Amino acid sequence: MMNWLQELPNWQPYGDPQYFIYLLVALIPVVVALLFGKRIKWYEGLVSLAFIVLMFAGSHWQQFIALIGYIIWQAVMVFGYAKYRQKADNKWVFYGAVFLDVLPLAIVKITPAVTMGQNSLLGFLGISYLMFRSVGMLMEMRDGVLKEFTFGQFLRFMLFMPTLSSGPIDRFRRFTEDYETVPDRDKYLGMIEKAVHYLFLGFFYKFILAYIFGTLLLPGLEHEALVAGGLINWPTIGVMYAYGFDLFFDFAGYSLFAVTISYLMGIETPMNFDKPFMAKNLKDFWNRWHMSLSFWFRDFIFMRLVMVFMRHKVFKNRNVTSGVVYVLNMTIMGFWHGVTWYYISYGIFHGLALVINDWWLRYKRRHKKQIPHNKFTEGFAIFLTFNIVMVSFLLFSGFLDQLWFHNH
Amino acid sequence: MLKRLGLIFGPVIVAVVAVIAGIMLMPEDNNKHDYQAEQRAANALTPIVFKNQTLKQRALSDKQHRFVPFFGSSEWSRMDTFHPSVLAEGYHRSYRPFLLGQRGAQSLTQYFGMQQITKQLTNKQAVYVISPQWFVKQGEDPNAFKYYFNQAQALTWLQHAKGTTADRYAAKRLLAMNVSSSLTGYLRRIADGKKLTANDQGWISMKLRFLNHEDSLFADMQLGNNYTKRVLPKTANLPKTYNETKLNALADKYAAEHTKSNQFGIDDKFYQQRVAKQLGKLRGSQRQFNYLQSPEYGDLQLALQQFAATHTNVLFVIQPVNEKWAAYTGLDMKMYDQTVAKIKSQLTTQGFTNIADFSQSGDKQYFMQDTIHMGWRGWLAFDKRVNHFLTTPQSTPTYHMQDKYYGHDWMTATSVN
Repeated sequence: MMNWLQELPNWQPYGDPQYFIYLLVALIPVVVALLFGKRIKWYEGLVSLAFIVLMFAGSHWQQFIALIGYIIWQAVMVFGYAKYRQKADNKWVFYGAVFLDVLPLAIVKITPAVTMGQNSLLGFLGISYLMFRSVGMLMEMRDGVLKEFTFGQFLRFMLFMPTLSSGPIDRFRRFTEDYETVPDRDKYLGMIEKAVHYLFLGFFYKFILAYIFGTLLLPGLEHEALVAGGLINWPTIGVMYAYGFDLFFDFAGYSLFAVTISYLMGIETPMNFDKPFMAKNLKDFWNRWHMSLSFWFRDFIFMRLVMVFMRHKVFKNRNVTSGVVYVLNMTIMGFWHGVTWYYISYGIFHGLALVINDWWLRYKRRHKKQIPHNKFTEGFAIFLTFNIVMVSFLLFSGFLDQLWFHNH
Repeated sequence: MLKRLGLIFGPVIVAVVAVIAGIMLMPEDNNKHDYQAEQRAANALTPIVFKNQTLKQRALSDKQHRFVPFFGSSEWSRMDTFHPSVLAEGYHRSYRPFLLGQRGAQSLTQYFGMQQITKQLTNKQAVYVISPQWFVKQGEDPNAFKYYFNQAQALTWLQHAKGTTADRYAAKRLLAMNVSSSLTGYLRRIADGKKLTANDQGWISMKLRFLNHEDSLFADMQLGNNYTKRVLPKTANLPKTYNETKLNALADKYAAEHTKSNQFGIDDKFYQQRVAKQLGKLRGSQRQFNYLQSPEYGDLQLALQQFAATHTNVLFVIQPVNEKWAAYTGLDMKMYDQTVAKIKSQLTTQGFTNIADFSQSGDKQYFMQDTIHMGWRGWLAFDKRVNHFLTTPQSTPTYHMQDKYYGHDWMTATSVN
């Protein structure tokens, strides 16, 4: 039955130069129409559908089935809860809806951990990002700020092609407003201008810098580090930096592509990175690194947990509350990355580091006079933050798992 | 609006046109012969050179200097004093090896690499080193394959692919390596036994023209120089004239100096870096190894098919394993011998009768440099056979290719008869 899907070529999003050519050519009518103040919804839908199908075609066809199943599941949750919320507002129903919404992703994340690396059949590229979007909708409905929406709007938001596979994570109301209002010509020309800039910056990041760090440098360093063995060695430090830069340039490059294509479609998808290695402290770092994810966690996990703890007066001290929630928040993020010791400890690492960071900022505020603040201390802060982040990325990379436990 | 669009897209269009024009206007110069650059490429052992058609063609078509393609894998990087490149240089042989292949390169990689030098292989000689370790169940690792693969290899091949059993097999293997989505459509057609359309061929030759210009443009930017750093200096160690006794004595001396740390006769540096720390873990670790059933047999057949098509006279070299090490790791030597017999049968039944089989030499002293690579005495024995093959008149072989070697039956056969 799915033969036709298997026969099609598989096009990974933004995978090679040809992908951009095909996609940009397909978008020409969209751009021309937007320049004349029109949005050809049916055509945009068709192009999006075609590129989504190609993303899961070929050997990935099972993921396409998983995607369709997942969308149906999410639609039932979102529209079911929307219907319920018009009449009542029981928190347990809300928790239940969120739980059921997250459940498929949880299964996908837990499956490899309990089956020795087998992947769940429910999984597909981008499942997490769909979950973030729909849970965001549930939260906004609970808050009463999101009330009415159509099935078409829901689908368009969930399946927005440029950001389907790895974000940035948009919010429903922001996205839908962009979609329903065509930007005026002047603004849209500005968006095209930015899009061209982001596109080439993305090329530079992903196809040059990430290539240098990830393809040219990393394998050799990993090999040397494994040969050297032991708990830690110099080549492992090299792996740490090469991996860290590869991670950034690869993901920032991808994010720039996603933003570029969004802009050309007249949607101002939020940016994902803002010079993260210039962060002055860890809190600042999370305001600059994978921003759409950390803001999602801030708004929907951190803030909510803080509110729950405060309301129930779990801890007397405000700082204790926020400290505990930092650790919880980051640990959950660790689990989201995957159920392995290194992802989870990456989360806990950042949680604890944020607690220390918070304590230091408070201490600094109290001792303003004694602690110097100048260009050098700022430079040192940036340097220190950068290196702490790099250490956490080494943990995140899973390379230590290989070095310590699977090195033969 | 148009003015602003012009300002936005103008520079992009100008840049794209300039890059394309710059590459296409650059003359494709595959006939430039600079001996130093050729030697540099011949000993480079980098994926850059392996994938660069221009560098390979320039050296292999040089009429003043005879470069012979030496196809193989990781053994080429064991550049000690008795390495074939050092000996050819030191004794001013009439040939120089052009080393093709590094760690992880196997027959499929070599086959697609050959597509770029078919003209240079025609009616010439070559050396082809087969490692039985290639013949694992899953065949060549797709990651290793991609490391040595570029689109131009496949596009050049597609220009001549006709839908023979060999072509269909090659297309299927390339699909299995999951190389590039833009090739998938063509490969599927060939794999299904269909022909490419004239339109397809038009696109292919257009793309190829661009890629070959690009290839030529970057050919002069080589990195590193093994020739001056690792080959030339070692020629000074050699006795003035070729003398087997002296060379053997010298090899024994070097080998004795470098194998003090272990009972396996493995080079000390290699031993310390790769073996010592996990010696305990490695005991018995190769007990389950099996080289008898592998797609590698079909991939080898592709390389043979190429040699037959270009009437290339090839000396096949079969690498030994370090027998002390094999005993320690529990490698099944009977299985290893059967593998060698199977490979040889595939060669000889089709007329490839020049075989330097060293498979039984893995227990000779100072023959192996490490666990699976020849060194010192091994290189000398290798060189003797290769030198003889390349410098004395050889009868023209006749090949009779058999498609059964692409079949599942052969690839899974555990005995030759």
